[in-house]
Amino acid sequence: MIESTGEGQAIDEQEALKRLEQRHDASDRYYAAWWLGHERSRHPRTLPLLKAALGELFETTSPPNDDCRALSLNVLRALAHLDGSEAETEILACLTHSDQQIREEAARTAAAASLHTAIAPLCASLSNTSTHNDRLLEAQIEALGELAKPSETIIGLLTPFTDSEKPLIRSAANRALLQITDDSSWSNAFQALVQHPSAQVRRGVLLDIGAVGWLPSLTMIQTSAVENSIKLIALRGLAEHPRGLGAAGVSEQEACNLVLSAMDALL
Amino acid sequence: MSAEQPLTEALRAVDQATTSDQLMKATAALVRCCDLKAIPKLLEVIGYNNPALAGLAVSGLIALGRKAAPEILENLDPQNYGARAWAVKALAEIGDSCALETLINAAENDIGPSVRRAATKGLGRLGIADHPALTTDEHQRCLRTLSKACTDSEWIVRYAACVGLENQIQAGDQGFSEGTSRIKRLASSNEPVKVVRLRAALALERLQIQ
Repeated sequence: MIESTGEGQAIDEQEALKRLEQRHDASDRYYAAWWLGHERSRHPRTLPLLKAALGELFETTSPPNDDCRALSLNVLRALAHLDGSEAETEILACLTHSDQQIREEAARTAAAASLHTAIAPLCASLSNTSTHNDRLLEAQIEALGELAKPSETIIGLLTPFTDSEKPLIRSAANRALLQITDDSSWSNAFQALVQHPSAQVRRGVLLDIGAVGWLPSLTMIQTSAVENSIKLIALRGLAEHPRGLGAAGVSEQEACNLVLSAMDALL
Repeated sequence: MSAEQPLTEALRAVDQATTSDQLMKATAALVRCCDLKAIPKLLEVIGYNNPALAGLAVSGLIALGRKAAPEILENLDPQNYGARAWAVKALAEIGDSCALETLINAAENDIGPSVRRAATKGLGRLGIADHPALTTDEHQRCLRTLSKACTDSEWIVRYAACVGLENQIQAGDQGFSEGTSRIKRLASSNEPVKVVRLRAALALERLQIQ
């Protein structure tokens, strides 16, 4: 399959649109969907074609075949880089799809597209997600952190996950609650999490702090035992959307200069 | 007791370490030896995919200074770009002009973004402060590569290029108009990543360019 498509070859926007539109070569469509998202395509045909491709997932009631499933995942990833709200109906339907990975990717896409209509299905779905399905739980919790406004319901729903036995679920839950409430007590857990013996956990925690943009954790990021490339991604979040300025006791301009100088030192 | 003994012992301790804590202690002892003969082992250690350990080993390589540069250059690991990024970082910090070719090549062609980032940072420091001066030709090539890096596909490489150009222009190349126009472009809406625009705006402010 791969040989016939020339995957990895340089293609242009027209070619990507053509490949996505045809329906006989699945791997060509898969690559084209990825390409359009990666290149942040703004062609007027891009979103309608991606939306239609995602709609194919609902043409039958039976579980999707491998090609259809793989294409849908790449379309969801592409929509996370573009204006996903154009495909709101399809993304919302994916949030409750029978396939776990589609639900997971749809949660990320809904968050990236700021789809507030996704909050209710995410809440319903999160209550039913198995505690063994770490990746799906993380994606749903993180999406709610991006989208939800503070309310007793949402805080009540997320709080139990801060006691999860899985460190990355604890981190995701604290991240989401910090984003929703701006209450610095939710940042306390990061101190212990960032010392976790697993490097993968430490990386995930740094990325969570970066996603919040939590400025009081600047020193924690700098001194953590994580490679500089991850620290730099986390610090980008602090520079681009800083929060907790009051708790850190600095102005927005001071915060920006502090973060940029920390980044310069880590290059 | 011969002068070799602490080195031999530290090398053996690194080889015999079975936990990451032991490995950290043994590597710290090796770094304290401050001996050029420790270089191969320090380079081996930075390939273990343990950032705290690699950071320690790199600090040891940097402490050895310019005399360490040729051996680091000869032993860049083509298979492991994590290790290569750390080694290039050491070269960049040491700032020896013998690393110029390697840094230019790494900044322009390495497939690892973290390697291009570290090399770009190094180019921004070559010939500055206590680093040995570059020839005019070397300096021009260094600036050309920094300018090119402003259009890298990875935001962090463009960020590093901005920092590098600011350093080089600050150090005496006010006449380098291509560099200033590149920074201006990174500060404009043509640059899609906000943190790169923020850093470029800071560079323009420091260079007092409108």
